[in-house]
Amino acid sequence: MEVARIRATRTDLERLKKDAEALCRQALEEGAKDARVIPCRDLRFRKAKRTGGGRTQAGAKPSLHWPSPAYPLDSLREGLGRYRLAVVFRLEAEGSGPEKDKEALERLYRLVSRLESACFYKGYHLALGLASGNCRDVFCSSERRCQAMIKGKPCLHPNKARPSIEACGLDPAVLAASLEPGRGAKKGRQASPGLLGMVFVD
Amino acid sequence: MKKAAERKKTKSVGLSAGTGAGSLSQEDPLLEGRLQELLGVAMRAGASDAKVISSADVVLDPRVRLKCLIPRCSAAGTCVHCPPDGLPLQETAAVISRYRKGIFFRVVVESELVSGPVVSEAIARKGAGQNRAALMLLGAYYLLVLQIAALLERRARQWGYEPSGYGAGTCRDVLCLFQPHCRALLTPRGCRHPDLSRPSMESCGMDVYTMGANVGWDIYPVGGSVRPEDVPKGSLMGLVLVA
Repeated sequence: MEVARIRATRTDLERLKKDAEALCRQALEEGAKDARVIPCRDLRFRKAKRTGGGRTQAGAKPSLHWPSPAYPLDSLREGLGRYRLAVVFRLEAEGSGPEKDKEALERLYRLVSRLESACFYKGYHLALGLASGNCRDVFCSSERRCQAMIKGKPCLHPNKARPSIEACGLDPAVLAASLEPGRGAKKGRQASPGLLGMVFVD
Repeated sequence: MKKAAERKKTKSVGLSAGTGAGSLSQEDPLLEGRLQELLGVAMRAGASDAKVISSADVVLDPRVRLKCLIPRCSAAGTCVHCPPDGLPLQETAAVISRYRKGIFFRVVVESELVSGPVVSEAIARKGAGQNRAALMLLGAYYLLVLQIAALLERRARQWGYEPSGYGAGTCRDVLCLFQPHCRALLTPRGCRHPDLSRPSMESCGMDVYTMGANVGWDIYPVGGSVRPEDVPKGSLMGLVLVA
């Protein structure tokens, strides 16, 4: 793998666009159904209520990252607001049922990690990836609790667990619509955006 | 006699740093010489490179602390200095604004110690599994960064300054790996190693990679997905704000 030296100056927008397009191609080669570069200045954050990780749907298991990250949302948004371009992509679920859903989420988390990693070694050391759903369902479904929610305890799956797009206050339906230019965000029954992933490049 | 007068003079200058460092370098003709001396101290103590930087050269970015949490680092939430605990960006900015000059140094590490899946896995599992010896050696490099920072701080304090030092990585894995938890995080008893424990630059929101590149060092991203032969070297960096 070619590893780029860290640049002293911020990458110019033209080069950043080219690298983000290359990332889209990589996403498609690695199984994404759609992938597109989006400008981060257009991102809108919803006003998310902090649930404290407890008040979730019946049967749902809260984690450090879900339904809302257990760290200040303000700093999260301030940080995400610094990026210029991001890549949004979608995976197609193969089949349905709990096992298939879990497999699909695992594929999504793997792909987000690989794309984030690709950015990192190209010299975008602050690249950051978001997935869909609850990382606990993917990595810790058999655990009694999310260990990272206990003060002083580490995450059982460091470098893999990450929050979802929706947990960070971004609207997945709007992002899914950005994958299909010319069509607005779907509502009602058609609102399910599928398995979305997102990598903020720089 | 001359030395005593000089000491007295420095002490008054050092105290003024805590109350607003305004035009400190103009008021303190000794500062430049002392910063040069501190560079020598850093190099003799084991740094591979060291530079005097202005506090304006410290690059703060809210994305840096975010990167500690997304994806979750193995140290996040386990150490008093690491996100989501530790110094938030605004507080770091307030601290930096009290200083004008600092010593920025780096310790070069062999790429085999900081890259490749085995090392990455060993770090994530806190030394369990293969390559434990290499991990201990890497820990020694992190410890060296903390020691250099502590040494520079001590020297600057002797001159009457109120320095502020920062290391690399989490001090928990270096100083308290065999302890059940970070005592400062979970108990009111405080840190077990106040003499050596320092927050890392990145845990305070400093964009260390960019700062290293800005002073002309060859900095490469290292991690678990890259082979050691693909990276010329790894770099651990530290900073001591002096005056």
